[in-house]
Amino acid sequence: MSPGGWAGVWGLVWALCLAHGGGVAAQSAPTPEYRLKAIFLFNFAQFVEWPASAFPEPDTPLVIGVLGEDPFGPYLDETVRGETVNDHPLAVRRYRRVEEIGACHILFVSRAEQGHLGEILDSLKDRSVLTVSDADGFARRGGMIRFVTERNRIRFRVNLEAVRAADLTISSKLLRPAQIVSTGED
Amino acid sequence: MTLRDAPIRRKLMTIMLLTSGLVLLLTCAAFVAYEFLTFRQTAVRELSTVGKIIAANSTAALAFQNQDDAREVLTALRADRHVVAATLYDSRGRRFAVYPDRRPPEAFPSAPGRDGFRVEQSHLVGFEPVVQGNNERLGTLYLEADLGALYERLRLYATIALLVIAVSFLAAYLVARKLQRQISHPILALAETAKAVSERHDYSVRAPKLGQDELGLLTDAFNQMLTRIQQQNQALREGEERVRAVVNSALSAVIVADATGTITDWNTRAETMFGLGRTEALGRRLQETVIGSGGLETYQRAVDRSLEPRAPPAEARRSRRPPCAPIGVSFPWSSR
Repeated sequence: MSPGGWAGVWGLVWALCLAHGGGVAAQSAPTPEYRLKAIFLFNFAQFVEWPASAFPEPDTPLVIGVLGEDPFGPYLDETVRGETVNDHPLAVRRYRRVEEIGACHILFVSRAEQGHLGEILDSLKDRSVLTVSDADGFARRGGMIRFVTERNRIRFRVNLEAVRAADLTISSKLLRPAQIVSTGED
Repeated sequence: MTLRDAPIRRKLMTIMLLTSGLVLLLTCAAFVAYEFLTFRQTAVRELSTVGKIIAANSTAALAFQNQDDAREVLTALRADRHVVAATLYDSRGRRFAVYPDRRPPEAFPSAPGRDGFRVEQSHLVGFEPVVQGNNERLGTLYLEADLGALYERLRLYATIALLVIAVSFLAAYLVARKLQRQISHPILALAETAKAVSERHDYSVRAPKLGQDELGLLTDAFNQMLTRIQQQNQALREGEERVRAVVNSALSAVIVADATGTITDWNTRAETMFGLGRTEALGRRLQETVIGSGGLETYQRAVDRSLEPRAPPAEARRSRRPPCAPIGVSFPWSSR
C-alpha cells in the first residue's frame, strides 16, 4: 500500500475514531462515523435475504427503522434516497417505542436504548427483522449485528444463531469481514 | 539416388514416413496455429474470469470498507503468476486496496477506466465492475496480466508439439519398418527367384508364396510359368532324343546342313560312310567335307534355287513338278 495514496482514507478513519471517542457529544450531533454506519445499514440489505412473507408485494418497500434517538441525522435518508434492493424501494422510518414497529426489515437500535435491550429483542422475537446496534453487548444478548470500532475501523459482530432464528439468510460474503459471536458469549 | 531407383524397402519406408510425417506436421501446425490465433482471446477470457471471481469476492470488503479483507482477496491472485498487478477502487473511484503491496503507487491507474479488458503494449489490462446482486456498483477491480508470460506458454505448446512429432515419428518408423515387410518380402522373394532363373537357367526353383493377395497371385502365375517352361523343355529334349534315335538307326547316311552349308546333323551311318565322327563333322562346311570339287557348282545352284521365293502352291500342284530338283552330286568314295 502506498502511504501517500492512503493518507486520505487513514485520515478519515482516524477522524471517525476521534469522533466516536467523543462519547455523548456524538449522540446529539451526527458525526462522519454515522455516515459510514448509514452506508453499512444500506449495504446489509444487499447481503441479507428475507423470507418471501416479508415482501407481500413485488414493490413492497424495504424498511430501515431507527428505534430511539436517531444518531444519523440526514445521512441515512441521503444514503437510501432513490436506491432499490432487488426492485424494492428503500424507506426509512423512525420509532420512539418498540410497540410502534410495524413492517420493518432492518432495525437500528440506538445506543440510548442500552437499558431496554432485553425487552426490545424479546418483542422482536419470531419476526424477520435484522436487528443492528452499536450498543455494548448487543450481539451477545441476542441482537444480530453489532457495530464495533476496532483499531480505528468500523467492524461488526454477527450472532448467527439469532439471524437463523429470525428466518433470515445472510450471505457468506458478509461473514468474511465479520466476527461471529454466539448468544451469551463475551 | 532418386526414389525411382531406390530399393523397394527404402521406397516403402520413404513413402510411409513421408506420409505420416506430413500428417503429424500439419496436425501439430494446425494446433499451434489455432492456439496462436486464439490465445489473445483466451488470455482476455481467462483474465476476465479471474476478474469476475475476485470482484465477486470483494463485494463485502468494499461494502463494509474492510481493507484487510480486500487485500486478502487480492492476495489470492498470487496463484496466477500472469497477473502482475491488481487494484480495488471504491464506489467513488479511490484506490482501496492494491496488489502486490511493494509495487509503487504510480504503477497503478489513479482512477478506474472503462469496463472491459484490452491489450496495451505488452500487457493485458482491464476493469471489472464490483457489483452485489443487481444493486448499485460497489467499486471497480483493475487487473493487469503480463503477455510475456502468456507467450511463454505458447512456446511451451510449440515445444510439446515438436516433442510429440519426434516421438510419433519414431513410433511410425518402427511400425513402418515392421509393416513394410508385408509388401517387400513377397516382391523380394519373387525377384530372388527370377534372378536365379535368369542367371542359372534353373527352371526348377519356385518363389515362396506369402499371402493370398495380388502378390500371391503373381507368385502363383510366375511359378506356373516356370513349371510350364520346365515341362516344355523336357518335352523338347525327349522329342529331340527320339528323332536322334530314329536318324541314327537309319541305313542311309543323313547329313543336314543349313543355308550357309554348315553341317548341323550327322548320323551314325554318315560316320561310318565318311569316316568322320559326329562331333568333328558338326560345324564344318558341307562343301569342304562331303562334296567333291566337281559337284560344288551344281550344289550351289541347287541351294540357290531352293532359297528362291517359292511359286504359289496351287500353281506348283498344276504343273505337277517337284518343288526341288534333285541335286546331282558325286561323293568322293572311300572303301576303307
